[in-house]
Amino acid sequence: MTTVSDAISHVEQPHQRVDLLHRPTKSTGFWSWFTTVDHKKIGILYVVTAFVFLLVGGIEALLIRLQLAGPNGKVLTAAMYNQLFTMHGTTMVFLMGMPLAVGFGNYLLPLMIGARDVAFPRLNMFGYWAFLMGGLFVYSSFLPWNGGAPNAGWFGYTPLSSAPIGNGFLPGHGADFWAVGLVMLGIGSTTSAINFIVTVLNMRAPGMTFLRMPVFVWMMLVTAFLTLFALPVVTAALIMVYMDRNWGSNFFNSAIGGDPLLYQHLFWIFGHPEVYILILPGMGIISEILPVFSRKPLFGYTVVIFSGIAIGFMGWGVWAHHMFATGLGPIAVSAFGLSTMLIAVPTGVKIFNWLGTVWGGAIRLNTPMLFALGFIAMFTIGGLSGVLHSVVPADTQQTDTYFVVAHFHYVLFGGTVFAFFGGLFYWFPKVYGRMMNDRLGKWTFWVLLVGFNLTFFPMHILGLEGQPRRTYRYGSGLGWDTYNRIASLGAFVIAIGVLLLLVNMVVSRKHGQPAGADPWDGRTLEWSIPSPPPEFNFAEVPEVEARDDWWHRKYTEDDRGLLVRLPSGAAEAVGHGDAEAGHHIHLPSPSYYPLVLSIGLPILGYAAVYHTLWLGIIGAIVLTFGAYAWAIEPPTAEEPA
Amino acid sequence: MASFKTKWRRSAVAAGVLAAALALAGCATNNNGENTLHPKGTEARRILSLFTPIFWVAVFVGVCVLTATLVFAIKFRERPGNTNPKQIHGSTPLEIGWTIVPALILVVIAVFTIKTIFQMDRTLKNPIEVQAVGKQWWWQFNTKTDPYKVTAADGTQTTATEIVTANEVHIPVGKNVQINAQACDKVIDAKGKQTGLTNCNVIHSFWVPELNGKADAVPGRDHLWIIEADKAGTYLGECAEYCGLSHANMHFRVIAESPDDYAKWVKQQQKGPAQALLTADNKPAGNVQNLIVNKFGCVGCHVLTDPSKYAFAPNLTHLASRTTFASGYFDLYARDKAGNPIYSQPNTQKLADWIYNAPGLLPMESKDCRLPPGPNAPCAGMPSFSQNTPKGQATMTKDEAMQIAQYLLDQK
Repeated sequence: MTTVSDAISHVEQPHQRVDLLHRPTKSTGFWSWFTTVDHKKIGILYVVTAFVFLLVGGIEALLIRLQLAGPNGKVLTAAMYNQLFTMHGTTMVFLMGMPLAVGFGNYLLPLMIGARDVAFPRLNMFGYWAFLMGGLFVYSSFLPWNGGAPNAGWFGYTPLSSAPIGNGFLPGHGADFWAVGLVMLGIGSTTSAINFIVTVLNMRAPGMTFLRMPVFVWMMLVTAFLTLFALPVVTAALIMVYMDRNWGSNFFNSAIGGDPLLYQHLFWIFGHPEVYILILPGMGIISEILPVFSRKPLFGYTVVIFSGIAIGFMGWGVWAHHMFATGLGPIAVSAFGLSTMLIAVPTGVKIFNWLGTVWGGAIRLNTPMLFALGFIAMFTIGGLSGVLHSVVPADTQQTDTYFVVAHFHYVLFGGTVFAFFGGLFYWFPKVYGRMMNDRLGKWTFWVLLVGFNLTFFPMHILGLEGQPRRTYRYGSGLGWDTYNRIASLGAFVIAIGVLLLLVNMVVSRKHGQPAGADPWDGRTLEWSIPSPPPEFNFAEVPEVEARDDWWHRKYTEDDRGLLVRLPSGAAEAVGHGDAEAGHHIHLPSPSYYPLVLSIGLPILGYAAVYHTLWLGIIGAIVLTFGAYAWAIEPPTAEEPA
Repeated sequence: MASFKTKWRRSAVAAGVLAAALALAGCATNNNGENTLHPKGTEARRILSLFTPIFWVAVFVGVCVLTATLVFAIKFRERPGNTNPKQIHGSTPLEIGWTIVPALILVVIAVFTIKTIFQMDRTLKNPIEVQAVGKQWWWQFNTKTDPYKVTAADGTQTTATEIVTANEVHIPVGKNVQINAQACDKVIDAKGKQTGLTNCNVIHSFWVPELNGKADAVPGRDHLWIIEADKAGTYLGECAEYCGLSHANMHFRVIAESPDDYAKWVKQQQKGPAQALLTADNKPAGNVQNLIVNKFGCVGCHVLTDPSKYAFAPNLTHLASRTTFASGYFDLYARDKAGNPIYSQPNTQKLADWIYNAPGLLPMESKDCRLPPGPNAPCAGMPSFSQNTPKGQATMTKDEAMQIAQYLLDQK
């Protein structure tokens, strides 16, 4: 059997091999995780790392809630609080939300489109290392000798973040670590976006036309395009912040003609698509879960797809609704208010289609389904409070209050995180071949749902009653005490829910019920192969004949639209290909260089923060060595003769 | 089917309870002086009357979707007799319906929203003009008045057209006041013309929830914003844009009073200092004045003798006429049960503590602030005079702090 990689290695046969480091060969064992180019292992690395950052960001949130549990809290100092809310936001957006989606995409995209790997396996690994190095770099600012973590907010408004350190607006190196670290993370996200786009466009199995692709694949594709176009904008803004702070470049210095509001425009032109980067993968996940657990196809598949694409486009035209209080003038705010209302339409259409999917189904209320239904409910609340923000005059009251905190947590926690947790329960058996405990999972869902609403629902009221955000304390006698106490209590209920989830994952990985290839009676191609999937995914590349191809190999519809199970055997054909076949499939070989290249990044980062030339030179050497060695290393190692 | 009906009824009851709870939450909210649900002026009322009906439309849609989610999940769950659902792939009329209906609702919302935007963005005829200048972490208010004369210690007179206060601004009841939210001080030349900006700070946001929404104070920009109060009273304000270390402590007050009282306040603020700080030949007029001018250099950052001038730190010419100090964080006087200051009971000890070691009371970035001050001094906030004293600078005693506090409290 000839594969693409076969072809490549044939072409390259005459060239002299150059191995600057002895090429790694192992695809199992501890060290293989450092050199792997297998999209599934990289996906697991992303998800596990993002989950660790979720725990870290969650601990930061608990500290914040402890401080705010009562008036005039004394748990944290103002300086600590400002670092914690900055890092909580930065962590949950850049180190949890985005990488978790990339992890799911990494693992699932090739399986769902019937491919054996992603388009750029080593670039894929580099994306992960850049993410990890960026995350560790930002967090290293907590080390005592670095003088404090970022403290300008996750949005880092200028001139607070950009005024030269000597001006005293924001002492310490926190903002430098933040700006440089985010550039690093951006490099990782950009490579993974390019990889996803090329993979989805070029590596689909025969017959997997665009309108047969699973919705999750579609949403990841839209997300990848958003990432690709949004990150350069914020990268430019961050570099300008760094230059203003360290080199006196004055982009945002109003005293000599710079403009602080320019930064806000740049940040939110990235920042609003970023919101969709975080929510679209979640929408994709629940669009997979709902049909499976309703035993019905997704209602209005094409409408859901095109709504997702519409959201992707319209997401570029709403950024200034984050700036309604900055004084843009009545015409500008009217336009952005309108565009914000407009984006509610495709979002609403999606919700109605999900409800249409559930309607008339035969619903199994397993844990993934509970999370998917929870997503619909919580995301709807978040979406509706979002519509209230498009009402510009009302937004001037709500913005920068706890009302907004409530709003985006309903979208990003009740939405994105619920979808990811549902996805974890849903795909866990595919990844490890064992089921997560469903009973414990249901408990986890209800604990999280209750804790989530206890925490964030009262914040709507707090915001309307005037409590501003990003304040490390509030006075007594303002009537905010009770709701804040409830919110703090809820945060710890959430923590219990997350712990239950963690225990469930750790225990089930070794001791869960064996899952088999297709435990949920799934619809998409990943359920047609063994769990866990072999390294080469598909022994034989499937020929796709329908949307939900795997389902149609199992069932057909009769005249009344009812399901008729096809004689078994048809379904088996793909699943149990010749196991021997795997030995003849050439996969890309492991490589050290993505790791080497990425190690150069934090070294350069430290050089940038502390203006250390020799460190910069070392970083550049490591980076250049990694890039050069990577360039001359063939994708696939020679097979031993 | 009967059981479904009971269940549906139950869900409807649950939804009703939820809606009632929401309504209750809306009504039972407290009167804390900064509640957007209790507007006390035209602009804030305009916003709330736009917000309220849209809020209920949102609640209605939310209750419908949540109820549907719940009801569908229960009604259509898998059970004997419901294992093989009809395979429905979509419906074009439904898709068109649930695209158009929300769009129409949004059109209605849009019409009222845009109408209100343009109503609120209007030019006032002869308004009272106040510049609200955000600083780390306090507000400076420059209120425009009729021209008045200011006499310096050496007897020279100048004409001024604004009075400068910190963290408290007075407005007359029932009159539109034009706030200009800014983050820089004006540079004024000898002829009284503005030639540029100086002392630019970070972004802050002017927010008095019961009078209007937020107006960000962005360096280099003017941001006009109208406030009006129906009744006399004190309205709490907050800085609503994160502005660094002590953002949470950046409070201010808008004090609305009858036009007569307002006119009296203006007259009183236009007066020179109650006690001379300097003699005619620019020497300290006494012991405590010597502490202020020479020993601790308070005048390097504060203005104490001219109600029309501003500098790096709050103008203290009429400090004693205010009700609070330290960006509205501490009361300058004891308060009666109604919350009104009792001017015969000043909070002298607290003020002395503040003068002695401000960073001990509120977080400040002011370790280096006692070096020669200026617009680009690397500091934000009030320095400590008792700790971390730089070389060559005097360390304050508690007694000295008390003397200065008493002097300031005489500056009515």
